[in-house]
Amino acid sequence: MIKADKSKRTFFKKVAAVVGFVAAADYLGNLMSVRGNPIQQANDNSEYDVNKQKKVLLQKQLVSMTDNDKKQMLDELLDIHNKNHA
Amino acid sequence: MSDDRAETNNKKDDVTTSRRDFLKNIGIAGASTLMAGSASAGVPADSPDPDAESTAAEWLQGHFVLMSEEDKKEAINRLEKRYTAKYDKKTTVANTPPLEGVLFGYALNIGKCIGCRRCVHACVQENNQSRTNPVIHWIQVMKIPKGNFAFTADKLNDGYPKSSAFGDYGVQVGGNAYAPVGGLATEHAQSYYSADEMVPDKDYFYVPVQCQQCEKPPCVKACPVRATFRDPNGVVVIDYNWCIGCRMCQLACPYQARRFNWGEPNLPPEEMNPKTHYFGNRPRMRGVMEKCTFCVQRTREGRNPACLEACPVGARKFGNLLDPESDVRKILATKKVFRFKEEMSTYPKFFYYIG
Repeated sequence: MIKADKSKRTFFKKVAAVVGFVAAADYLGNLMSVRGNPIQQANDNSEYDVNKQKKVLLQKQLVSMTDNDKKQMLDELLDIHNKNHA
Repeated sequence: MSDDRAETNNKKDDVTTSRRDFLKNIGIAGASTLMAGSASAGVPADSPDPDAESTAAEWLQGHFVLMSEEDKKEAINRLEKRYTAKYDKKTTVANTPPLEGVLFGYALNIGKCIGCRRCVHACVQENNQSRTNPVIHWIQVMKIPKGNFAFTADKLNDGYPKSSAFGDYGVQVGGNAYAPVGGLATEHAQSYYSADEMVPDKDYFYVPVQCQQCEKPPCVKACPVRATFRDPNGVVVIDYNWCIGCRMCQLACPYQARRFNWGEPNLPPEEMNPKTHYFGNRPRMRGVMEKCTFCVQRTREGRNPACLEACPVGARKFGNLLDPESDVRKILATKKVFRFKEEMSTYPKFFYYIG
């Protein structure tokens, strides 16, 4: 007859296994519910895109253009345009 | 084993079929059925799909620009038929060509903009953007504290090297390097001030941001299939049917001005604008990119973009950069003009100004 192992070590092992199992099940459950709700997922992704744009724009700066800047820019724009249409 | 294979090959000419061949045929037949099924499932099952065959043909069509005139007509007919049935109203999909001798530019007066967001709503209505789940807006309005604005007109044309107190031994101090002549930093800006907030707030500037229609667009360079391209009028457009939804263009855009359809767009039939353009406001599908096109369906017909028409304070100006008499060129010549810092030399054709 085999005697049941009731040491503290075995008890902790079992507790760890149960906690691990519950965590894995919870993670899978969450994953399934997100996948199961494509509208929510689409909304979350779109919101993420908008937030990303906000972050990018917050690092931008509108700079004023000098007369030279304006001339240079206009020349460049017209030059590119004319090259494309040559 | 090899003898068995040789035997099977030799028997190919005969009518007898091995179990392997039989299973292979079943596999091919199954795959073909699945492909045909998925091709005709482009429209959701609950929508009144008028013609599954036309949807399958849409899936298989090539790049619109490279199509023959006849194929283009066919493609447009298919779309018109499908949209008319889906939204229960006569829908037209135009293929108006770009205008001759025109390079579009846009100027926005941040001194006048009151942040009412009428341009945003006009854009949504005109361009058939998804209303809910998800909400898609091509224009974002930023609210920037006026304290962020710095401008010293006397230094505007400075910028030449000055003598340094340390001597001019290879060290030169540029006039604008340490004392910028002017600019509007976006720090502490908000782009989500609530819809019911009273505007304008006297302590803030309102800066609407949309696609800057770069003359050297990084998004176009990033597209692996050339679904997005710059048209002869300088407007960056997208062939929605050719877009593979890889989102490379979105990553490349320095202004993050592109929007991806993560879900099937939600466009109520009663709110749908039936006057559309192939490269503009025709309803998009899930998995493709979209963005501002300067209302290509309007501007190619000589009309102004919807956002400009909706602006109650006349803060928006649109015109031909090639014409010295156009509003945009006059603004460039006479006003204090700003543009987003050109980190990547993209040459945006969207300008902000004051005065």
